[in-house]
Amino acid sequence: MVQRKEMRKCDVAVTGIGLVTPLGCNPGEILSAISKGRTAHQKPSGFDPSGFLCPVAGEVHDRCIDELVKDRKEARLMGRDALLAVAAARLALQDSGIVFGRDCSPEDVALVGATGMAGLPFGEIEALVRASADDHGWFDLRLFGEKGLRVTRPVISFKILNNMPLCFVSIFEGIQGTNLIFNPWEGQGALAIWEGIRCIERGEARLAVAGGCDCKSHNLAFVTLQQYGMFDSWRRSGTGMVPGEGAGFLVLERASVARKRKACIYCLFRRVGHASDLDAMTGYTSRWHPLAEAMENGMRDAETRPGIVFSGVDGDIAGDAVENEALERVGLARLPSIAVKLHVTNLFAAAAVTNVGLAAYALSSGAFAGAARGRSSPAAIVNCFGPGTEKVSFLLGAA
Amino acid sequence: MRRVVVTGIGICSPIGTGRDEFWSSLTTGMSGIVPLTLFDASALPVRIGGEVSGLDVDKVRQQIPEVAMVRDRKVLLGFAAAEEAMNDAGLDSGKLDGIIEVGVGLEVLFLKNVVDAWHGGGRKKQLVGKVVSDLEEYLQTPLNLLAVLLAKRYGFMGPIYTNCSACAAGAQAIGHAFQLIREGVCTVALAGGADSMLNPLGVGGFSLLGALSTENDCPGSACRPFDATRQGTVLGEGAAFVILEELSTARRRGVSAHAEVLGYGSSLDAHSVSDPPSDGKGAVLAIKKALDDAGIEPEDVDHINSHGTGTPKNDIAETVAIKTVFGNRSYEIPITAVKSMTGHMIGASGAVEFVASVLTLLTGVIPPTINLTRPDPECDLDYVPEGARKFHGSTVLSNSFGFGGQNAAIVLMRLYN
Repeated sequence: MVQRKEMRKCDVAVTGIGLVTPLGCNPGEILSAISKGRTAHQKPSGFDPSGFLCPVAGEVHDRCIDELVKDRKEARLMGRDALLAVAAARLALQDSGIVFGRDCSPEDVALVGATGMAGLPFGEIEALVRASADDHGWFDLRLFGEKGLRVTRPVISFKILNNMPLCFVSIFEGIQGTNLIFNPWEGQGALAIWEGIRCIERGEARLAVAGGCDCKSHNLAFVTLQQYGMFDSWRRSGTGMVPGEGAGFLVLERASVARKRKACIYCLFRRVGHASDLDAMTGYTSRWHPLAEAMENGMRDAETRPGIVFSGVDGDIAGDAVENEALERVGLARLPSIAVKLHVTNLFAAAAVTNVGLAAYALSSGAFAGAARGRSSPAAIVNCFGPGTEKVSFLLGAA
Repeated sequence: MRRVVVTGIGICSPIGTGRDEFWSSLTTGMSGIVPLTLFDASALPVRIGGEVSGLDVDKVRQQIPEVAMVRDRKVLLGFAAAEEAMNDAGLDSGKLDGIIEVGVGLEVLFLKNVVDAWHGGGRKKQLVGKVVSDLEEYLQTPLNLLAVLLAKRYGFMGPIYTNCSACAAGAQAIGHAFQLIREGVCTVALAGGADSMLNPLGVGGFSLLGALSTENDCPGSACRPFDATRQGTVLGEGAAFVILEELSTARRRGVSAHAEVLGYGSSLDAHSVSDPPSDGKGAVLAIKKALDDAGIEPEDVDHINSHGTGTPKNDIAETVAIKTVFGNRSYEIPITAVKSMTGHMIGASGAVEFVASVLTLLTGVIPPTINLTRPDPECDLDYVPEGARKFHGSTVLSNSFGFGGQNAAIVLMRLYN
């Protein structure tokens, strides 16, 4: 009989950051752009947004992807979200300096991620839609079977299935270890990072690659977001959340192991706080309690207090007010706050990893140190409070 | 280390709704594959599937307020199964220190609504905001809909996980929930899977990949795992949920446990999004990890509930993987393929097969693999083709291997007090 492994608590470190966002692919440059007040808002390139409440989106420059995903044959099988994910994972692993085979076996690498809903741009199914409509413009099942399927490429399934981005990352990087994939909102992206931490803590993996990807800058996504009321702030106030596309992955490992291999440690995870708000299934939370609970859980018993907040606000007037109220309630309202989504746009399933990745980089590089001056501890609280039920706060400490 | 047991099971499948009907059909070798009636599939290359016919979905909508307005079939099937599991475990709704973990395939894109929206019913041929505001129905429902509604109805305090690892989703959901209870993150979990790909885009999309059997004239024998003449799998729909609890909590509540979960392992093929590696290396790794996690050796496994899809490459890869892990003993282990009767329920299949494994431990019966009349020389293990068989062992391995290369394996054991 083999002995069961006991779970041991440990400090989990971030040793690699890979972000592919509408504001760039280099964490330092993204933070610099944020500090200068730049945003990635632009008119969508793939469709006319004039009929939608939200007129702008955040798009990733193709050159960011082309440089990282060189296998064009394989790329043709991938949806946009998968392309972004593969690029981000490559950046994260490059950044970590990890070499599979030398530093660890690919079987000892966990892959945990989140994907979003509505990841398929309308253009991918446009031919199918055209061929499946009758003379009056209504859907016809017979036409769908006789004509629609014939004009549809078989690879459509690889672009629709929500687990494909993670599978492509595993194929491109050779990752073979334990894995999980969640869907569809920012909270699930945060849970993915948390599960990456757990994989290390329980000794299930030597290394975890954790993050998420999403693509909400196309018209089918705009339809869904508008239907769910996520653009209502634009109607009421002329401003609101801006959806975008992007991906991010973090390389996580035990701090002691990272130090041994002289890796760059961006930060350590000190605690994770969580709360569910079941009334926010497809929208913003309307009560401050769940957000405050997540933050309090994130700071409970922690030896350090945060000196800076990486907030979850995204421009939705009502949603942002709730988070501000929650910050007030837990005594963090006076801390300097960085609102990543206001600049990068809301990357949904990739929003949590983007926020955590930038906070980790900021802690390591001293970016925003001036803003946090006077605080006794180099720690940050990162709120992953986007639309959806799951609310997660990470307390990060400098290495 | 906490011990985790199964105290409740619920199921809704093409061969029966409810545990008794499902088990009776499964052990008598009844096929649930029929000509599709859920939509007019007459113009599609594939016109058969495993439909859940024994569930009155309108009644579910009437009885469960949370789903009164829900159209997404997998949510309705999921609720029927979850309700049975909760009742079976004798769990009362309330503030439960537990998690919800649901495995699902992919969100339903209501193609009819997309087409109608794009054409605007002939008014304006583009997908624009003005048309959107006129739409009465959503284009798609979020994948976490079922999980959130279940949490609301039964009072699980969370977190709420929605796992979308395709065909391995149901098994991964149960495996992950098992890990969290064992580690003390929570004391109870409602975990399982629900799926229905029996819609135009689901059936059409998979038929384009060539993964489905096109034997429309003989639905009952269309899914033939491990048979030399197998053509492909058949899509099915269904749901299965289990209540997992820490053993001491279950004993304190005075409920009997059906089985103990001993170990879980997952892996990635890192090979191809469409085909498994011929040496089954990803499956081997998942099985080895599950055995290691369970603290048992290969010779301790008495029965395997296989992934067994009926696709040419998958069945060979799984057979090779079993031989790699179990060596010569693999010829002595009875292996069954539930999908031969239910079809492939994608996100639900791992959970359905987990429930079948629990029932094997509970009743001492191994269900057969039906339609296996001409064994593939490359699939030469004991797949129980002749009919149900008595089971005297104590340990079962349940395999699930997802499209894209995500694999999961779970080890269960008869519970000895």
